[in-house]
Amino acid sequence: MQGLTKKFGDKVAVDNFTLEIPTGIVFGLLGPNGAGKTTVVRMLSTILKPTSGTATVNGYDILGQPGLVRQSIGVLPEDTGLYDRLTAVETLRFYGGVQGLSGPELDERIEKLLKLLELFDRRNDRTAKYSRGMRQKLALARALIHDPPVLLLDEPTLGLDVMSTHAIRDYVKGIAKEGKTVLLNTNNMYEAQMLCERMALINNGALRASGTVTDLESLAKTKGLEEVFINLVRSDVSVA
Amino acid sequence: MSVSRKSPSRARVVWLVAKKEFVDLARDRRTLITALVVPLLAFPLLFGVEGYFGNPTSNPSPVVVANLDQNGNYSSALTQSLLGTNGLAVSVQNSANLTSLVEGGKYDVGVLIPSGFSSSIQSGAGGKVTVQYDPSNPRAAEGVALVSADVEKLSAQAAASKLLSKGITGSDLNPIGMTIDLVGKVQSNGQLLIASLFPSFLTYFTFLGAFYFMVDDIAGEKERRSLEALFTLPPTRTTIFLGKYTDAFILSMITSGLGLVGTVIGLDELSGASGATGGVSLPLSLFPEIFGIIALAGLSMCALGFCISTFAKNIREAQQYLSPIFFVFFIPLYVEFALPPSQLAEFASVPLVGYTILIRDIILGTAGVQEIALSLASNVVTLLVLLWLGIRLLSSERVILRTG
Repeated sequence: MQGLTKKFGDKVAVDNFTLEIPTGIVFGLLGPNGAGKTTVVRMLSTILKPTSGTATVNGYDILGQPGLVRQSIGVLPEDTGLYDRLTAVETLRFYGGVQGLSGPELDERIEKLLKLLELFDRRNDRTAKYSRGMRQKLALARALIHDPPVLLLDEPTLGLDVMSTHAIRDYVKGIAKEGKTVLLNTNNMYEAQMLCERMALINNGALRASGTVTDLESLAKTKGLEEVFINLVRSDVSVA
Repeated sequence: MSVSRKSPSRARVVWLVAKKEFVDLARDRRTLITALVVPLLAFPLLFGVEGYFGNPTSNPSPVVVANLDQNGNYSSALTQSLLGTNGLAVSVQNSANLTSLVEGGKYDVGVLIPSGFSSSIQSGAGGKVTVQYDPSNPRAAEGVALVSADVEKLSAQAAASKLLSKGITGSDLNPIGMTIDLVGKVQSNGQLLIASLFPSFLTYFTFLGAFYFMVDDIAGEKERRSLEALFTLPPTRTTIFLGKYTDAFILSMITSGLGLVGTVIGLDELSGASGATGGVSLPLSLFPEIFGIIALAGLSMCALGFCISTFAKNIREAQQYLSPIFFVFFIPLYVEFALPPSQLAEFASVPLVGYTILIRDIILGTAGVQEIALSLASNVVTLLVLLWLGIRLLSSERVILRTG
């Protein structure tokens, strides 16, 4: 991301955001609610166009090659946005088909993901009958159906119960081991510390700090990611 | 990547989106009832009821006649005439409180023939019958019209008889007559009726069929926050729009087809029940031409609906914006009565509503090449503008972020 900026009228949602995310790691984008995390993900997934600046995803420019960017990413938005009247299999078949999968390979991929995310027994139920945790798992399966090299996960465990949170986190760990690049938006410090090798702190749309947990601790002159987060956000407010 | 993928063609993606929407809407009872059941049943039921209640044979107007002029020539003649009139169920009584009988709803019309009625006519003083009815009862108005016709007929006969006895003929009394010749291609009221109602119903169905689908689709996706996931897929917004639009159009055509069948059945019922044999019918040879125009109307109405649904924040707002469009379909019905045929032909070029007039003129056989060409040209341009606008709206961040 190079000077990525997004304005909505007079409001600057993301301000001159420059960041490089190494390939094959889980990278945490931390920030309080309204900091601009979701706007960053929306720009990277080409839903929103930056007001200025640009970014490349998997080597493709978000402005010049949006179609190739979208082929390279799997997105788990903040809201699952599932179709309530479709079953899990129908949902994945649709998204997989549009991503270019078909035939037995698509069927095998659907079966594998549903078994992995423990949804296989309920695969023919309409998603309206799913619990929040099941919906989140299905949305994750939807993001993974085409086996993308880059995953953008926006608050994947927000509002989930302990068991669902645990399952999603386990799965994200597994994805990282496969060498995929994951951008994880979260304001859960425990989750960030557990899953992310590196992270960046965004507040009021601007990048405040980035690095490993140790890097951030030295910058904030405190221990523990939660303290780091609070210190950096507070200092940002006082600077503002 | 370990999964092998091949970028699907635009046509395949349009098909996949359309198929997904079809599965989704096939499970939505509200859409199915509106799109499939209503058009098939509405007009057969409506016309069936109209045919039964509007049919004088199956539903005659009950009339009570109080004849206080016993044994009078004219009162007897009038009573016999009323008894023989089709559309009236006459009950003759020697004395009765007509007002209470009519007000009570037992009879639509009360006819009082006063005492001395016949002798008064014979003496030259004239006779007068009193008719009572409730104006809020439409069948009573029909009954009064039939009673009036009988009274006028008897009055004319009495006058002719008296004049003849004095050597005066009908021609002496009405020396100037008038013959009315119908010109143009419209030769019956039945033909006019079908040409007025049928196109309006059909164009109405093009919108009705896809209405709930259009409300629920893009505005509903905004409300359910499912657009974001859809937009992260490789296809462009144009392709996604076309997939959804294809569904709306197919649904619109299914509804119009069923509406066509329902309307024809309904008109057949009306024709049979009202006894207007041959007047209310539609030549099958016109169907391809009519359905071609209906397809164009369906494309336009769905494009308009999608523009509005895309702009709306949520389902409720989409309903609020889309519902008033139903009034558009009533405009041609009023215009037909207000404008002469030459100006009606010009009205056929008005985008969206002109389709109705064009179909009307095709049914009546009055549509000229210029009218057809102008109407189609203006509506094709409108369609293209609406499609362009719909795709623009779906691609606009400001519109897509309008949620709530």
